Amino acid sequence: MKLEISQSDLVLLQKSFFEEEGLVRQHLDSYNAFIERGLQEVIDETGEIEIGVPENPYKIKFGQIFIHDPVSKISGPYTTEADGTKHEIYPMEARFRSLSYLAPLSLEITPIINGREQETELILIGALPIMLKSKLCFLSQLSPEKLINYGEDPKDPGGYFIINGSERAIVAMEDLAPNSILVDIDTRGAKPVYQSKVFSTTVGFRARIELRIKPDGAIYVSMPGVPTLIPLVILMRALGLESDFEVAKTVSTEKIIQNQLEPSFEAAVGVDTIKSAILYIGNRVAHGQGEEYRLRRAETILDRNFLPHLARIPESRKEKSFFLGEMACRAIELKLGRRKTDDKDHFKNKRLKLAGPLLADLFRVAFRNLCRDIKYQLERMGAKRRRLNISIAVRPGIVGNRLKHALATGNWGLGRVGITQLLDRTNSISALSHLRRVQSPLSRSQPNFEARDLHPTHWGRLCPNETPEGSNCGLVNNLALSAHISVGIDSGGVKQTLYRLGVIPVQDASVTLRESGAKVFVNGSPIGYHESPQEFVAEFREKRRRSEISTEVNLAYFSSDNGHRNDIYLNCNQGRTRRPLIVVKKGVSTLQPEHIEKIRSGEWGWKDLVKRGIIEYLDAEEEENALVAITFKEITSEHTHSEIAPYTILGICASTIPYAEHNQSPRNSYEAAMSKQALGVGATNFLLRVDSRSHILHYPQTPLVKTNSLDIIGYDLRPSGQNCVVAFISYEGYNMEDAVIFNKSSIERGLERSTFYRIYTAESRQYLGGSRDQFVTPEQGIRGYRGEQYYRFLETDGIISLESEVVGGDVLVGRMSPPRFLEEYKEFEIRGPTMRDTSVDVRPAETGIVDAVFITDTSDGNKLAKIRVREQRIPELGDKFASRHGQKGVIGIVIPQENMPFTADGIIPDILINPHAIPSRMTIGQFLESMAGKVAAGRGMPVDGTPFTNEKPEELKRMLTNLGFSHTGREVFYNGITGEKFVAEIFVGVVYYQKLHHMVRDKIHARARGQVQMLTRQPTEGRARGGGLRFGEMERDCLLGYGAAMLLRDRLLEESDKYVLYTCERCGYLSYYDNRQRKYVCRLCEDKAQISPVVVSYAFKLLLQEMMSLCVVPRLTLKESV
Amino acid sequence: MGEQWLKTKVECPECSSTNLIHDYSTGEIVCSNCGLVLTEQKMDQGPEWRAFTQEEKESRSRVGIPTSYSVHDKGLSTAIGRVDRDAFGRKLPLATRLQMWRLRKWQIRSRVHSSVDRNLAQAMAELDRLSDKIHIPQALKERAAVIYRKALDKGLVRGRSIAAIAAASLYAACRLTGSSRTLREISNTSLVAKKDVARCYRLLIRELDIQMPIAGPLTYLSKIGEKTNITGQTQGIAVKIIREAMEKRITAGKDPMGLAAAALYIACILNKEKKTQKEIAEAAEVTEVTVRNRYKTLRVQLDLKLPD
Repeated sequence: MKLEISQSDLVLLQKSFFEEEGLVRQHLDSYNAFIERGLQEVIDETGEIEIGVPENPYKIKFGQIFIHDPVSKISGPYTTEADGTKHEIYPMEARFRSLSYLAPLSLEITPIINGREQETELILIGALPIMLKSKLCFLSQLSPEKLINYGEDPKDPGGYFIINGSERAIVAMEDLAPNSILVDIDTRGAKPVYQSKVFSTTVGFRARIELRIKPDGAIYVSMPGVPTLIPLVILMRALGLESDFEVAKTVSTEKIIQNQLEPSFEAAVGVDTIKSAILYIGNRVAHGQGEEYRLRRAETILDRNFLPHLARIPESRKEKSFFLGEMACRAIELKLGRRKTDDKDHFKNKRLKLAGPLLADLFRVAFRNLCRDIKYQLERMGAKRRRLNISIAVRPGIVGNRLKHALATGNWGLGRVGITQLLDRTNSISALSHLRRVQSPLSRSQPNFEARDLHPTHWGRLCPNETPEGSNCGLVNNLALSAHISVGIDSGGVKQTLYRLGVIPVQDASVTLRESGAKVFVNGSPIGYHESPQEFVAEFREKRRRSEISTEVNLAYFSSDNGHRNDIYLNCNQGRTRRPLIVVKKGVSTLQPEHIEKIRSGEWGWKDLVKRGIIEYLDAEEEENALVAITFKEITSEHTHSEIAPYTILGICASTIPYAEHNQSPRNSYEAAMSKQALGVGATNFLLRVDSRSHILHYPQTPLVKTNSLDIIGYDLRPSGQNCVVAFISYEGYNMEDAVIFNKSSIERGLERSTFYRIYTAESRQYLGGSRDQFVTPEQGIRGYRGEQYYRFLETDGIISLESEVVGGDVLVGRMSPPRFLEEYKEFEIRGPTMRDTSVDVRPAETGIVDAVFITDTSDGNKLAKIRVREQRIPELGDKFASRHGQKGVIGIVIPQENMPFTADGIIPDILINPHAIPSRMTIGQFLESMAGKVAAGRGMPVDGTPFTNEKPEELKRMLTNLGFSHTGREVFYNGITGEKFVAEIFVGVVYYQKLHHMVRDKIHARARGQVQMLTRQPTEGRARGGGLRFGEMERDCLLGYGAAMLLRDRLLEESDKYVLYTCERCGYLSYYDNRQRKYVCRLCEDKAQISPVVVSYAFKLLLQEMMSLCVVPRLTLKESV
Repeated sequence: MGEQWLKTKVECPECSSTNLIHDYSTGEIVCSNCGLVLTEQKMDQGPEWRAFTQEEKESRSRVGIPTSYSVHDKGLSTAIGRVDRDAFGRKLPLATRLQMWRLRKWQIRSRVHSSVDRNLAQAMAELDRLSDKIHIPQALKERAAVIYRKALDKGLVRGRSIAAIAAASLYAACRLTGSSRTLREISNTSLVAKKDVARCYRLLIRELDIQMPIAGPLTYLSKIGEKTNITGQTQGIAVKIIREAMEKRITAGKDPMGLAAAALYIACILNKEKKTQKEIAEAAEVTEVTVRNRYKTLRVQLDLKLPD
């Protein structure tokens, strides 16, 4: 049968994937799993706490956790007002009033007194930040129309939090896979050391277990809590394997491997019993204690600190010994050259930590703090013998503030900073890309070359292009469009299924089975053997495709035929990056045209395909077993899967580039970074939003040369650029060095015009002693009064009137504050000259028109005013623009239309760029886009420029000729000034241009006079503070070189920090001004002092004083100047 | 210029005018009366460093959090860090580490020495717990702490329970700022009976000579309104009713909660919002009888024509 699935069918398929999954699915899934299971799990870890009251101790037991406030009966995001009332809020109110989008958390608490359970109480224990569009968010259930009613952008992806009114996105953390064994060779010493390592991770505890083969051949193990290395055999014995035979058997059944254990047995000579082995460890951890104590300590270490992921109870020691045996076996295999070192950068060894696990970490710490506080409160109360009232002892602020604070600052404790970031709303692309970012915990200061490299397993998981340049290169990544992160399921059920399918548990496996069968691992731990792995794996996959086993499970078989050991790895934990593929059976795709038809008619969705095993998700490990065809045409009987669409290996930003495969790769990376700075429509509710700064492009256009991904991302509805007629011509040299020339008339017609909104915030705070800030026009004569003219727009409420045309320094909100340091007892002081003017003014060097005034109050009951100022930004000399191919440039000149070059048809380009921009950069994609844009404009229909599957260049050339153009894209041009025809034909076409948010308006700066710094009394730094331009060391060197002494003095002293220092000539110390005597005095010489003024730089005076603070005595010896 | 910096300039040295103009862009202070330039180079009040990320901000800042009255030592205590590393970042030898551990222990133990300190530590913890429980803004908590400290200085706490005085201070702070918290709300979260809190509150007012603004019905209106989901429009009508009643001086001596509840009830009837007396009474934490009585007075005194 011939396949009839076309390109557009696959786009349809891809669309249905994103419609169902959304672009920030990974965060939502992870967060939803956290509120469904994670929260309760953290509670259950603690279970109950004992209250140690001397007379009658009792316990309190924790039950179920609810998202519910027992007092107000609210079960969703809410806020508490200053007067104590509570009500539900929608995200827009939170943004608007600088609130946090939190929902109440309450817990069932039951006191158990004398073994009898008392009445269960539901008590508010804190507040949980709610992820937008998650299950708990009000928005998740609303239709687009309703969303608009609630002030939202209907296409907003969600997946972030609102804390104190600002949107915070959690950046996913890339982490080494926990609980799986990794072997490598340590070559730092003279002789190589073979080692196998595992990060054994259980809830809230991470133990690094390391097994090393020392150069003498003996094997040692290290674990947390034990200061020394423990010989392998002793540890095995301590775990309950008394005889040498048992130990050897647990490591391997093979003679060659067992022989390698010889030195290890020698290292354990004299430790023959289980007890002596445990005592050996006890001697290391509790040296000099009683024997009983030593034994107990050693046993707790074995149970709690050694491989805690298996279990933390004595019964799990057997299982731990199997795991340890496997670790030893692998290290020996490595030594024997039977196995290669594990690749740490292979994506199968990586897990992504998303919002769920990160919040769980945080909540665990917070909840433990809460428990400690409850215990403390109850014990204090109990001592005074009052009736038991648990709800009084529970402070909801502990959990609430901890979570809020961590999300607000991105500070997760234990040195983990930058976990959350302010969501980038420059345009729709930047927001989406930000939510799909992945951060590696590796240090950016170290090279880590391998970790930064693109790994083959990144295919379809991380975008190959979208990574920053410089220190973070390769460490900050972005998910590819096709990436999907597993949420994880409980491994217990999976193990049961495995045993039913014929897996024999490790302890029951016979020697023959161990030698001939395959070892089965679940989430990295050995659980048994199977005699016929090939059939088993096939059957398992078949069951999964029939949805008899969760589609979350992936397994891979490494066969001895391919030089591996016979191993089956099964994974069902969370954080694996998986990607969907079409299943191919016997050389035929299971996806058939009729399935597409069903999708098109809406009868089936993406989920139905997954449920029926037509599409399945593979993780990096299972993909090692697959042979994936890129297109249907390539499918042979060898293939097991087929790609859905090759362009989904790219991320959000890179997939906006048309004809990307024709560009030099770094150019695509540059464009991926630049597309996040392009002005567009960050959110359609921009008139309701209160972000401190935002740019909106006036006439955004959907690109004429599209990619399939653009529709999927929603770029055509929130674009960030315009289609411009671009010619490659150097015109009077005004576009050299990457400048661009703009057509003045185009600009006047509105090309690349934008509006800049800045929102100023003023809060009227309360101070001690009952005084508070007042919104009024400040009175004359108070401190910091700026002069009448600056307050001219204020209305009687102290707030500016709408549509006022303001410039830098004009006051938007007049505010008077009480003096800063009011003393405790001066409470009811009358206000007088001590009042301060703390008005909020327009930033220096900015202008605008007051666009909107919002007045509300905060949750603390303070009046809050937010003023939006708008400014139109018309492209001008120095503004920055870029095409979609990493070709950026600033405007070099704006030429009137009549002076611009024109074609024979009379077409005048909007933009002229220099042909020198091309040869070294090799952005052929831009040529193709240019030609394709011309075709699209000519035929009146967009051109498909999707990477890999686009309308081919030959096709474009043919269409150009059909439209009456030259197939080269070149045209005859005339000089607009002289009217002469240019000798060469000029390449011209339509290219999509983006306006980037670096505009001269925000950068232009000069200073003649101004404020100085407090510390050094040198001019302030930076444009925002009206700072000076630094006359630096190299500039100083120039003046020195020229011998321009007077100028040097002027720059470095007179115009900087000139200071008159009074010093005592007799002793050389600094003198001080005594206000009572009204003269300068020297402490040392008193009456004999001879005080003289010396002109120095203030920085020098500061240096003298800093030295004095270090007990160094600087003396100034003065001489008459010549 | 020298010592000129040190003086806080409040008036012009030439004409003694206090109308000084601060020009931040030129860094000058000018007398608006005679035009004398008092200062040519104003000092920038902000930090001299620039930080673009939170991390940079933390590393460059040379100050800690501001002092606070609601911390028993105002946040000015000294703590020995847990770094256990010397200035070069090397680990300390075991002996030094143990010594530091002992020092740390004694530092913590000796931090709270006098009885006043111990008292404050307990009281501030109680205040913290109370304000956390019923969501009291930070500024109010601070105010309550000041009241408590004054009471402690005057020796009012001796012989009384710390918890009661703390709760009373908090209530006093609420009343002073006109924030609508009832005594019942506070005493419910406190371990002390309402009666005791009320007694301590009266004591504080008397002994500390606090001028307490009278809590009018208006403060409670929005609170009851929010609890019973009465629309803003109706609440507006209720405000008008109460204003009118206050003008006619019929509110004197009546429980503000009851008045607010009755006014809201009337407003509901006028605005055709369906709310029962019981609902409103419950939200206001008064009895239905009180609401009915106030309702009657208001109707008669203000001559309201209400549909039955």
